[in-house]
Amino acid sequence: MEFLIYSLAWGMALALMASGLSFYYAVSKVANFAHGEYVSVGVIAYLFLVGLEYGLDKCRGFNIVNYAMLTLDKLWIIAAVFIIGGLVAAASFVVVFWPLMRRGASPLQLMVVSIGLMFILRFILYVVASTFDWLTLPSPQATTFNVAGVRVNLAEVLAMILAVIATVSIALFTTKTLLGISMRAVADNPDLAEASGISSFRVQLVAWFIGGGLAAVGGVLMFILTGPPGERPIVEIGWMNLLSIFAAATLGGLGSFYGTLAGSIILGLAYNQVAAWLLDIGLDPQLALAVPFSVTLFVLLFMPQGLAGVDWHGLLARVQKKVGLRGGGGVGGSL
Amino acid sequence: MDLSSLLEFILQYLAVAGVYSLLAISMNVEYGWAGIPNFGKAAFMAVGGAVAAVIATQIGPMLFLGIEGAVPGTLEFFGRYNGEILPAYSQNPLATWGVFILSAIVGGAIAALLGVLFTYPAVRLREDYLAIALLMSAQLIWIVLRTVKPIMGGTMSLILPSPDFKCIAAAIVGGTPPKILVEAIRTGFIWLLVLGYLLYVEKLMGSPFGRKLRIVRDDEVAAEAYGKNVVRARLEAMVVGSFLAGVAGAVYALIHLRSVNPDNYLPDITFMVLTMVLVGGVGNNIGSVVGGMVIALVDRLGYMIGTTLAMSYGVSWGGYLNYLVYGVAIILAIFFRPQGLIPEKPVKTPAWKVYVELTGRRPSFIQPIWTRIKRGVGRVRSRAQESA
Amino acid sequence: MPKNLLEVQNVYKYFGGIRAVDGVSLTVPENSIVGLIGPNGSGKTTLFNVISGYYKPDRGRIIFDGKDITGLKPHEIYRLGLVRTFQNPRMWKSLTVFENVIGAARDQKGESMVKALFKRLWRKQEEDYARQALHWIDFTGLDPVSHMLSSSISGGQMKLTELARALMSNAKLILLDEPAAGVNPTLARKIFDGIERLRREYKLTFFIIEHRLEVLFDYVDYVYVMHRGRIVAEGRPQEVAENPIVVDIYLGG
Repeated sequence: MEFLIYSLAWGMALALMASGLSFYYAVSKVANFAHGEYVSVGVIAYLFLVGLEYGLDKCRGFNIVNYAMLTLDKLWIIAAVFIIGGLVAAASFVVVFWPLMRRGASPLQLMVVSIGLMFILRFILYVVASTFDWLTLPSPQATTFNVAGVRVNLAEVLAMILAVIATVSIALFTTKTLLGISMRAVADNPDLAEASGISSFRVQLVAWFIGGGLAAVGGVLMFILTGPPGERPIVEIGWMNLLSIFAAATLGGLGSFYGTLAGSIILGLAYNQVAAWLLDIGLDPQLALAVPFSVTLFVLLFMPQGLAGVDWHGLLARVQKKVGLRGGGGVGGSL
Repeated sequence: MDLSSLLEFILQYLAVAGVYSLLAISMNVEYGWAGIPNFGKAAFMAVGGAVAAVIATQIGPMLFLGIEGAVPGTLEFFGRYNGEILPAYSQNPLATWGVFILSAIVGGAIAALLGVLFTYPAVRLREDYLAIALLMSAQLIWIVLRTVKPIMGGTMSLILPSPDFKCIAAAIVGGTPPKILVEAIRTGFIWLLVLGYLLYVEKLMGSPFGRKLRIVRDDEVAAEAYGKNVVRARLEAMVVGSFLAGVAGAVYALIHLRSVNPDNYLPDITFMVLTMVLVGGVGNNIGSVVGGMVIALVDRLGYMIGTTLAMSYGVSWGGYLNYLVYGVAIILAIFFRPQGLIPEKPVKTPAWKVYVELTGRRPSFIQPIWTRIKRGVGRVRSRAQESA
Repeated sequence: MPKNLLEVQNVYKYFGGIRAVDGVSLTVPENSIVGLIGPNGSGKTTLFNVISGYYKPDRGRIIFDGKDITGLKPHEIYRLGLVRTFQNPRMWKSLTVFENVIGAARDQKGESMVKALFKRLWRKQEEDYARQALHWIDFTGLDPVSHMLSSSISGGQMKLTELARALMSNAKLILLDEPAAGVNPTLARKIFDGIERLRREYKLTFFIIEHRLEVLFDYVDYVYVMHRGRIVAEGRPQEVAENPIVVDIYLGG
């Protein structure tokens, strides 16, 4: 039970990061490799802020234990991390991607430029992390609760609550607010949206801000759930998660928010199950990373639109037909 | 710095630059000519390295030394490999060459096969999907290499028998050759390979095949309308590029690093190779070599500056300076010079000659950067004369 | 009675709930010029995409030159002798106009990745194609710009390059998607004069989408009118021009 909750929370944390990517991919169509760096920015920002609160002078040296523990009174830091991650993403959109998009750069060029951005951001993070060397020390944990005999920790609870909040608020945002509706319009047809007076720039800027914020917060939760990335420097935590993020987003159908959410949860359960099983039979649990990758390859081969592209009504109808029930054939249904 | 150590530094730099050029040329076939973002380049190099490791430890001893091989990851491996097999290689220069040649051929072939296999799932999709699919395939290979110990021996570095250049040097000067000569021959051999790569790729690209790849890259919808099988064309480009990368991987493992370790094949190296192509010239093979030389220099300088910073100022981020340079180079290239320093040349098939003969005109193409500079200088000069 | 080169039999293509092509049947006889007209969004280009293999029809069959080509890929259909051009010219922009034209030639031996290495296997063919390409460049009047990069020529010249490419491919039937869109009236007439000459001298067959009815009607043998995915009228240009349904569609929007 505890393990199931952990896997679910893991999936939700991944969902936050991956839906961040999906969110701006929908409007800007940039397969952004710097997305992992927004995750790292979130983690570093979190450690820095908790350090600040704890007292910077006390953070030095090896004797500090877990100043970075996630407790209820540190929730404001999570909010701050969201804003910082969002600002970095928005800045990278304004400085790098938007000017290129205006010149009509191809998706390939945008993707390649995002690699350049990834390197620059990572270098800056390296400098920060090695200047404040205490940033790289802690392997933080979170307050635990006992709910009906099941031990859960705050990061798990928070991952689930935030994923739900994010889903609901984004659902409200994209259906009820003017900006959100414009966003869907831009995603569906940028030229038409531009022609009808919707500012494509403003819409995309907001999408990038939210996307970066989600990445940063998801990153912090993932960091607390799984600990620092072992043999690699802490700055690379974003990079370590980037491919899983892409896997979840692709499984969901790049650019589909709900598809990504579903994809992340599936991956979270599958990955952790396989990792646990590998550990049981005495193999390196790192092999479980093969799960997201092979799932992605499979998805690309057989259903390139991901979960969002599956014709659910048609599938249901076919299943019903096979079972012998009379089903109405739906046309072009999707999630 | 005295003369001989300077010479040695230059030779070493040239050797690295040559190996990088091999990688850049192979990337250029895919990215430059066919527009395929092969973000899995590291995996195809890894194939060359893995084949080299298997041949050096298991097949080579049987085939070339007449003793039984040792399987990495087993208990008695290090004893037998370090105590018996490696010394036997050092006694037998011919065997080391056998290992290299066999590794290059087999590594290239397997890499070409994997190129098709990895590209197939996403070959019909947009470039970003293709890039992600290739990157993930590469990570799969990396995971396999780390966990399947009999290939590379897991996560530790495995020393490999490098092809013996000392015997070639000895054959030239006789006796014990000076170290610098051995180094020079090794570097020369690498550049011979670069030349071979260039000739092969130039020949391939100066043909209707090269034109077909460009056609598919420029507009695949129109390419299909005019009878080009887009899927096939992309897979063919991957076969050529991956074969070259597989051979280059054997060179990288056996001649450049002289060891293998799965962690040598992380995506960082893919992106480094991509930077070479972007800087040097997208679609231009000479440009790829220039890119390789530039990035090799950055590498060396970055390493030197990093060590200096760490030693004199106690700054530990100096080692990551390379990232900054790569990042800035990529962004500057895409923003200001998407064609790279040396842009792509026209495809000069025999049709080009017929065209020039019949029309008396020369087809135009994107100007290389020095003509732009020359023109710029000329303009400034004429303006100066006007004002004078 | 000439035989039918192209037969479209009861073809349907839906996108979700949108009926882009809704049960279209038509024929294009050999060595004729047939027009396809209709307001924007009536499904003309979609029909072209279905015929040339870019979309698979949901229902119906397409017969070309006696063979069923339904569901074949575009490059396979090209091989049988059917090419199409695009409404918005699609140039291979890093190649010159000349290379754009010669690149469309069929069965190039040097396109094989093995044969490409042996020049003597394909040199002769390549030189022949070069001459042929120059012939079509002359024909289409692209001579002055043939050495330029195809991204640096005007829209009208791009249209002509598309035509020259189609001719280079040695096809029997050419589908032209608005060959005279966005060019001045004089050039438009010149383009259609050229098409007429090609039909006469080279025995080619054309199936043309065009919005400029005043030009089109002077050249075509037969016209189909499409509206909301269906063929609503057909006949000789004169008949169609006087058909009240057609007048209604064009005036009523």
